[in-house]
Amino acid sequence: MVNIKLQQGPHGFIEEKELVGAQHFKLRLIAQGISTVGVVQTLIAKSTYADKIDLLEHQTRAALHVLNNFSHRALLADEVGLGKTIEAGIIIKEYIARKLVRKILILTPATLKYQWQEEMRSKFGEEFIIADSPEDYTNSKVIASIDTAKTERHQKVLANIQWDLIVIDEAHKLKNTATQNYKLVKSLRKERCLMLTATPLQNNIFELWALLDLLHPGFLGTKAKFTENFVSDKDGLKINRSSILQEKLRKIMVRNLRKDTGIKFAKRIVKTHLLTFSAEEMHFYQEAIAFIKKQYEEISKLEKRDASVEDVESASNLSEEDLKKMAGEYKRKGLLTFGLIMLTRQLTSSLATGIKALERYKDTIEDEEKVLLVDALIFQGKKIDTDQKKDFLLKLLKNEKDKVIIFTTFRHTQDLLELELQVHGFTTVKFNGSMNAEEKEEAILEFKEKKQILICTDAGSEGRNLQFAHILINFDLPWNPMRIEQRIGRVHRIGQKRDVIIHNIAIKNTIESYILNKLYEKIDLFTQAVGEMDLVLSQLKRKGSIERSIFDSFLDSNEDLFDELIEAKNSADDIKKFDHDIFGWGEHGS
Amino acid sequence: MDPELIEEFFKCYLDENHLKYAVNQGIYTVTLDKKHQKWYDLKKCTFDPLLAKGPIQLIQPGNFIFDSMVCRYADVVVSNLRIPDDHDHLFAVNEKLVDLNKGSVTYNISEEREIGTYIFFEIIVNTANRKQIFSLPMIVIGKRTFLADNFLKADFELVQEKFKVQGVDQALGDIELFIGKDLVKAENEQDKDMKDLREIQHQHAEDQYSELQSEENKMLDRINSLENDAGYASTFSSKNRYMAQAKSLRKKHMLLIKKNQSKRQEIKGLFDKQINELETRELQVEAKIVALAKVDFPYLLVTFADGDEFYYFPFLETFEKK
Repeated sequence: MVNIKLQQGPHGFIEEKELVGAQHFKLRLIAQGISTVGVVQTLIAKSTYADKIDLLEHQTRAALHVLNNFSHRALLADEVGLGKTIEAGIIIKEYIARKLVRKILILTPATLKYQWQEEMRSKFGEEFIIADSPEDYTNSKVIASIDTAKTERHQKVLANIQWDLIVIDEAHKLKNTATQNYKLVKSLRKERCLMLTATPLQNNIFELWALLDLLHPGFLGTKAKFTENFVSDKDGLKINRSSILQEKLRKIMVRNLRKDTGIKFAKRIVKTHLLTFSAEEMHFYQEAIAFIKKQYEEISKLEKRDASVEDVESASNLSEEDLKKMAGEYKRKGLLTFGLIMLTRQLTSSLATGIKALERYKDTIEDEEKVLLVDALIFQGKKIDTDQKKDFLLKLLKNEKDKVIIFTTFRHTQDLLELELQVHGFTTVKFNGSMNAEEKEEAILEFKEKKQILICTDAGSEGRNLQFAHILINFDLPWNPMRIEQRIGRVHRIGQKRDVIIHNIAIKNTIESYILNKLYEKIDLFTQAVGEMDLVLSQLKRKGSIERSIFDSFLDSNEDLFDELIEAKNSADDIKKFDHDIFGWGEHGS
Repeated sequence: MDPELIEEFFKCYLDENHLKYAVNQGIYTVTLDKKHQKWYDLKKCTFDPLLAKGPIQLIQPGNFIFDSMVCRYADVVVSNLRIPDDHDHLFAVNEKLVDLNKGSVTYNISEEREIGTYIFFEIIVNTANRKQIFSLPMIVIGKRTFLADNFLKADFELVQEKFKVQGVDQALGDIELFIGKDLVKAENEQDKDMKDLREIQHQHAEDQYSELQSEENKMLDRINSLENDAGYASTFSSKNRYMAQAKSLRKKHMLLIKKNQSKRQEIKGLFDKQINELETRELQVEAKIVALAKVDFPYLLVTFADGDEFYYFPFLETFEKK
């Protein structure tokens, strides 16, 4: 005999309820019939987000497939740009609506935590708390950066919590079984687990095994058994009995490939504008770079360079606000390379931002001789009354009637552009990381409905879908290709109906033109699908910060980095082919 | 999904909310009031219950407006209903009498009234691998419980009077009478799923253990082989070399055993954790009251000359022995 429990507890509550009329009573009963038949056919929570998302068939199908067939463990591994976050959101929402989960933890890389929070809030109406301190885990819906969660203080608390659902974004980062991240996820008490990655294979099939063994221990056997059954070479790049493996994988993962969804992605038109500095501007720039080079040589002699590699790597993905905080740390530590990288970047953003950066840099040095040198540079810069980039921007916008998004890394440049554009009669709205959620919402609405130009910093744009605009101007260029990809990803995504036009503005013979020619164009950065750069960078043999590598290459006139990047891109292409051989199961994976 | 039921819901919704609509060749054009205009950001909407043509939207789950309508009716409803007398039931019962195979036994039919409790349960069955939902409409009359599938077809009047709820425990206890087979099937499924999942975990732990053991054995074999070689060594120096290698390997072997001991503990810990997690997936059957009403309804009592008595409940459309 089965024990049947009344979910609502003692039924005294019934007598408290107001009586409803016959019609209402009838409607409730039919509604029940309609919504419960949908356990396998429909998403009962759909009406709560359908007006905010253009749902695509493969997303609904993937979500239903996970809900019906993998009730406790699933790997969502759609190719980039197909909307895995949306799929995860649908599943989360459905679990909540069906009262299957209450306590949810989303683990993401630090750079994506706000994006997740924003997407869950704006698209699904679910309020998640970012776990800054261990006390935050007492909330029922929490987002934590995996790096924060693995710290001893957090892990101690996390180990004692029973989670109804854990969602892990960028799950391919758990491919190494020896890492703290892997151990953290393994130690968490979870009833249901959803892993998300666009690249379940980055180097070999063993990574996929590690990922799935974490999700569903033993499902593919031990590594030795798995190798014996399915792998025919020691590098894990050749597969045996692929149809049996595919059959097994289908029971635990969904992988939709772009080619199978039939979605037409908008075309990208890239226009690079290489401008020439005036003689005065070029002289100022060259003097400033010469100063930076000299400083860098001195610092290189002083410090062990590797000491700051990890810090700079994590910094390459941070917002400007975080970077400032970090720069402060560096000052205290005496690690000045980072400051020099920032200074170099600001010099190419705009003249005024460069001067401002020099003024700030001056405050960090004690050597009087150097202070005098920087003062001279500042003086020289302030005498210049031209700004090629700004003038070109105005020319570019002169006949533009459509909405335009201008990206800059720096808030100071953002302020200058706002002022300049308004003086010239353009309607603009600013968007950056210092704004709160409400202000951001208002800014986007204002841009959508009233203003022509959105001036945006990288930090501010995270997680925002701006596909109602199709023209993007990179007023300055981030050195990290991932950042460029994130910028493009704001407009070049599912739902973009027009060709996306990307304008890159750079000055000849500066580090920006160097990056454009030597780096971005060689790896086809601007034409790669959004998300693919992650795979390319994962193939790069050199570890550490890409920004620092660029800085080194520029100052040393060494081109090894670029050759390595091309090699990495070729490896990524090979992996993609291997991936399609394994996952090209034709039925959209679900 | 039954399109007629969906259309019925739609019409009921329009009536309940006093929304004006026109139907032309099966296509509904609805004029929304201010409240609905705000919800849907539309002034008018058009629905075709059978086909979606161009901008016309289907009345079906998945349609935003339709789903929103369904969502408005998600809370438990309680009512006190009266089904008025309907003499047409006398014709129905006469037609149905043949089902009783009473041949020429004379009978008498009387129209009676009764008060019962209608309860609509949602039964949620969670097994290790899936979840099923059953809808179970029941009516409790006295000490008996009946399935009430056709209850909605009746005409109701609302009785504005609060009442004391009766019959819930009895209905709860009788659920197995109606979906017992499904529950047994779910139990069997659960047993099989749990067995499979446990087997995977066991096999996995076994494999991990045996891999550790084979690692140790391999080293031990190598030590034995070196010691054996030392025994047959042709020179003193080669014997010493073999012995030294064996000794060094023995040390490593000890270290390996020690390392593997902690690895075994780790495997055991993880295994226990996995099994504990599995236990949380035990079969759960929960009932949720979706709707409840005290119902004052008419029924027909058929009394045969041979002493048999049958109820005919119009909402069941079948006879039940008294």
